[in-house]
Amino acid sequence: MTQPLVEVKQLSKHYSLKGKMLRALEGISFAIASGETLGLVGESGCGKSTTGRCLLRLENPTAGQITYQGKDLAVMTPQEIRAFRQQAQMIFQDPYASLNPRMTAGEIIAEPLRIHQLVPDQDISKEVSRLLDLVGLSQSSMMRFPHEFSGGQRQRIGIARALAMRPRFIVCDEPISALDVSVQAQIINLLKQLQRELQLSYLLIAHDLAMVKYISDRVAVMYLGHLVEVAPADELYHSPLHPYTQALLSAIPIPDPEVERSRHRIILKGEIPSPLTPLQGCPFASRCPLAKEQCHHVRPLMKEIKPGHTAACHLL
Amino acid sequence: MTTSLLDVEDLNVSFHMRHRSLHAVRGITFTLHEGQTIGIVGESGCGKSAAAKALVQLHPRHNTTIQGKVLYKGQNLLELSDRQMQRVRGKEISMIFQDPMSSLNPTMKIGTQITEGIKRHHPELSSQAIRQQAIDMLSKVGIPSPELRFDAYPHTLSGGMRQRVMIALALVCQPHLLIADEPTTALDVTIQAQILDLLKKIKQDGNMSIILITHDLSVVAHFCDRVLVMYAGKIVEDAPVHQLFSQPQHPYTKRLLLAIPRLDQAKNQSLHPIEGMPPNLSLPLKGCGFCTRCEDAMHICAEQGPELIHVGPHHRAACFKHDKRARP
Amino acid sequence: MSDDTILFTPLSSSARATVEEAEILPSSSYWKEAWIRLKANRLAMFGLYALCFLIVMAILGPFLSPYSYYETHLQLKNQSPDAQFWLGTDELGRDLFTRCWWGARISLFVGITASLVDLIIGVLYGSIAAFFGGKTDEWMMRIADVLCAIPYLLVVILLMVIIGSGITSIILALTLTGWINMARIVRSQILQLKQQDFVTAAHVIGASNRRILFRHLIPNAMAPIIVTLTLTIPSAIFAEAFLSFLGLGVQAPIASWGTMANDGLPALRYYPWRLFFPAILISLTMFSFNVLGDGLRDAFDPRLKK
Repeated sequence: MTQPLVEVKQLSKHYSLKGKMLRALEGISFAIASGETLGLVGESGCGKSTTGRCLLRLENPTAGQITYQGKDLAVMTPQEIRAFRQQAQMIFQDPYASLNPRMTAGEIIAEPLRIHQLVPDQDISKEVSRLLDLVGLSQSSMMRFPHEFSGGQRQRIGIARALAMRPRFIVCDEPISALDVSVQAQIINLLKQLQRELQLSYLLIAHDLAMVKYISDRVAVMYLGHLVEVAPADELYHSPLHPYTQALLSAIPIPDPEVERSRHRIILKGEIPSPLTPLQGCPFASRCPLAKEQCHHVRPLMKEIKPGHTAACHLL
Repeated sequence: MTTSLLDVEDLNVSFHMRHRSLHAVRGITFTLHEGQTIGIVGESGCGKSAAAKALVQLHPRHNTTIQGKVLYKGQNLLELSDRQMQRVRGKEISMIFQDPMSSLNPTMKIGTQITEGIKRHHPELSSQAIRQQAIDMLSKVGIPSPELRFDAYPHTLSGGMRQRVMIALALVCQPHLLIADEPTTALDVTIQAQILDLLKKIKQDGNMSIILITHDLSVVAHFCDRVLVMYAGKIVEDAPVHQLFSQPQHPYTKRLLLAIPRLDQAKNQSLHPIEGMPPNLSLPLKGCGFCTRCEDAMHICAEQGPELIHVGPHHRAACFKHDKRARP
Repeated sequence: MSDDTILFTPLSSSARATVEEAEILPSSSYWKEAWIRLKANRLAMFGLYALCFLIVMAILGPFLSPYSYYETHLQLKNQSPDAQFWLGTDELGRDLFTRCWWGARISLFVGITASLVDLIIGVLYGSIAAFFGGKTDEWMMRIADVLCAIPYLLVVILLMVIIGSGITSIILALTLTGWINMARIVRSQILQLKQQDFVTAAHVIGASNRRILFRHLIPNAMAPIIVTLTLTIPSAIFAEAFLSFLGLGVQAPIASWGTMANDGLPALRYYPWRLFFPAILISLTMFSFNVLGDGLRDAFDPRLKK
C-alpha cells in the first residue's frame, strides 16, 4: 500500500483563553492519498479551519503528529520547511481579504517565485502569463489591482498564486462560500480540472455539503473538534452511519420543491455546545436523538464499520 | 380569490454617491396576497435587499431616490411621512435581517427590547401584561427558560438564539406582513433547519404573509409558495414554486438551476457554471441584463429590455424568446 | 416586418463579448482614486494650496525683500506696515516681512523634521511590537507608556538646560516622546492587518518576517501613517512656537514665529501687528495641515464618512 501523502495521527490543538481551555481539536486522525480530494465538513466550532492551519504548519499542534511524505512536520529543518512550503499551499475563503490590496495581480502571483527564486528574473513575467492562462484570467489582469476584479476573479488570482510553485497538496479553506452561486461552479470546475492536469491532492474544507460531495473522493465529518465519520463521498451521502451525519444531511435543503416537501427531516434540538466547556463522553450526546447512558460518559472511538467507512459511535 | 395585501408597481431605487449613481432596482412590479409566502431570489447585486428595504422605507433619505408605488392595503407607503411609517413598521409590516447582532441593541436586555416594541403599539397595557406577552413570545420562538432569558443580553446568546429573538421582536405585534432578508444565511445548517422550521410553524399558525429574500434556491424550494427571480435590478421570472423548478422559462433561471449541485444527484453529473459576470449597475443598461451571458441571446436582447409577459398560468418571464415575434 | 426578423435572430458570442467589454471600467490604483477624492474636497485643497504658498514663500520670501532678518534700523523701529517695510518693523527696526519668512523656514523645518523622525521611530517601533505580539508587544508598549507618563515640559526644559538651546535641541526635545503617538497608531493598524488572509497567505508561500513587515503590512498601513504625519506636523510647529515663546527656543537674532510672538506680546497695545503677523501665520499653517490631514483621511478611507 503506497504511503499516503499527508498523515495525521491523534492531532489535538488546545488554546488557553483567559484561564479557560479552548479545545479546538481532540485527537483526530486521517490520511490523504496522492491525487485524492478529502472533503472536511462540519459546522461552526468543529475545528476544520484549525485542522487546515495545522496541516500547513501555521499552528503548532498541542499533541499528535502530522507527517508529509513521511516526514514529521514538527521536526523539520529550515531547509525542509522551505521545501515543504513549495509543496503545500493554501487557497482562502475571502477573496477580498486574501490578496494584498496594494499589489497588482501580477506581483501577487510572482511573489512566491521571487521568494524561492525558482525562475530567473527575466522569465518571471512569462511564468505569470502561463499561470493566468491556467486559471482562466486575461493577460491584462497582470497590471490590475485586486479591487478591480470580481470575487470569482480574485479567487482565481489566489489559485494562480498557490499554483506558482507547482505544489502537490493544496488546502482549500472554504474556497467558494463567499462567492455567488453561479460563480461557485466556475471555481469548483477549475479546481477539478487543475487536479486532473497537475495531479494535485486537496483537503477541501467547506460547509456546503452538496458542493463537497460533487468534488471529493472521500469526506470526513467533524463535530466539536472530533472526527465523527469518514467515508467515500457517495457512500457517506447514501448511507451515513453517525447520527450527526444523518441529521446534517437531512438538514440541507434541496432545490426541488417536490423532494423537499416530502422529505423526512431530523431537526436537532438545542445549540452546538461551546468548545470551552470540558467534555466527557461523546461530543454529540447532548443533542443526539439516539443517545444512551453510555454516550454521556465514555468517548466513542473511530471504528471501521464497513471497508473504508469509519465512524465513532457507540451504537454501531 | 384572496385579497391582495401588497401591490408593488414599477419600484425603482437609486443610490447616489459622490460621482455616480447606482440604479439598484430598475422597475419591479408584483402582487402579494394575504397568507402567501413569496421568495425573492437572486445573487449579490441583483437588487433584492434594496427592494425589500425600500418597501418599508429603510433607506437613508439623503442619498436614495425611490420611485414607483408600494400599495399596502391600498395605501401608498412611499407617500407616508417618517412618523406615519413608524406606526406601520412593527404593527403592520415587520422585518428580520441576516445579522441579528447588528439589529439587536447590545446594551439592552432582550426582554426589554421586546417590551419596548409592545409598549409602542399598545400603550394601554399594564407593564405586567406586557412582560408576560414578551415571555410568551420568547417561548413561542423556542427559547428555553424564557423567564430567565428575559434578562439576558444579546452577546450571551448564540447566533441561532439571537435570530429567534429577532423573530420574536418582529412578531410581537402580530404584523400582517413579515419581510425576512436572508434570515438564515449566517447560520449553520442544522440551526438553519431549526429556524426555517420555526418560520413554517408561525406561518401555519397565523395568516401572515411572508416575503423571504435569499440567494439560496433550496431554501425557497422548502418554504415558499411563489418565487420571484431577480437579476440586474429586475424581476426576470415570477412563478409558483413547483413550476419554477420543473419548468423554468427564463434562461437565467434555467442556468442557475444547472449551476447548483444537488445532494441527491449522481457524482459524475457535471455542474454548469454561468460564465461571465452581472452588468455594472452604475452604468446605464441597454437591453437585457443577462444578454452577455445568455446562449439564446438575439439581436433585440442587446437593444431593448424585455418586459414580463405571461408564459403560463400565474407564470411570467421577461425574455424575448417568449415574444410572439420570436416564433416563426 | 423584416426588421423584426433580424432583431430576433441569435446574437453571436463575439458580439456578446463586445457588449461586455464596453462595461469594464478603466484601471486605477488606490492612490490615484484617493487623489481624485481629495481633489473634490475643497477645504482640503485650500489647505494644500495654502501650504504650497507658505513653503514657496519660506524659500523665496527673504529674497524678495532688500533687507536681511538681522539688519537693524533703529530710527525706523516699530513702524506700522508701509511701502518700505511691507509688514512693518519690530523694536529694533528689523523688517518684519523678512523675519516672518525666516521664521517660516525655522518653524516648518523644525516641524517637518521632528515629525519625520517621529515617523521613522514610531513606524519601526509600532510595527515590530505588533508583528511579534505577545510578550514583545507587552514590554515594548509598557516602555512607551512609561515614557508617555513623564511630564513633557519638564523633560524639554531639562534637556534645553543640559544641551543648550538651538534648532537641534528643539528637534531632539520634540522627538523624545512625539513618536509614541505614531507608534500606537501603527501598532493598532498592524494588529488588525495581521489577521487578514493575505498575511497568512504570505506566510504560506514562505515569505520571511522582514518581507511580510515591509511589503505587506506597512504599505497597507500607509494611509493612517500619512494622516497622522500630516496632523503631527502642526503640533510640532506649535510646540516649537510655544517653547520659543517661553524663551527656550532659538536665540536672537534668529527669528522663529514663536520668538516673534514672544517679542510682539508686550507691544500688543501700541504695535499690534508685531504679534498679529506671526500669529496669523502660525494659525494658517496649523489650520492648513489639519484640514489637509482630515481630507487625506477621508480620501484614503471613504467608507468612514458614510
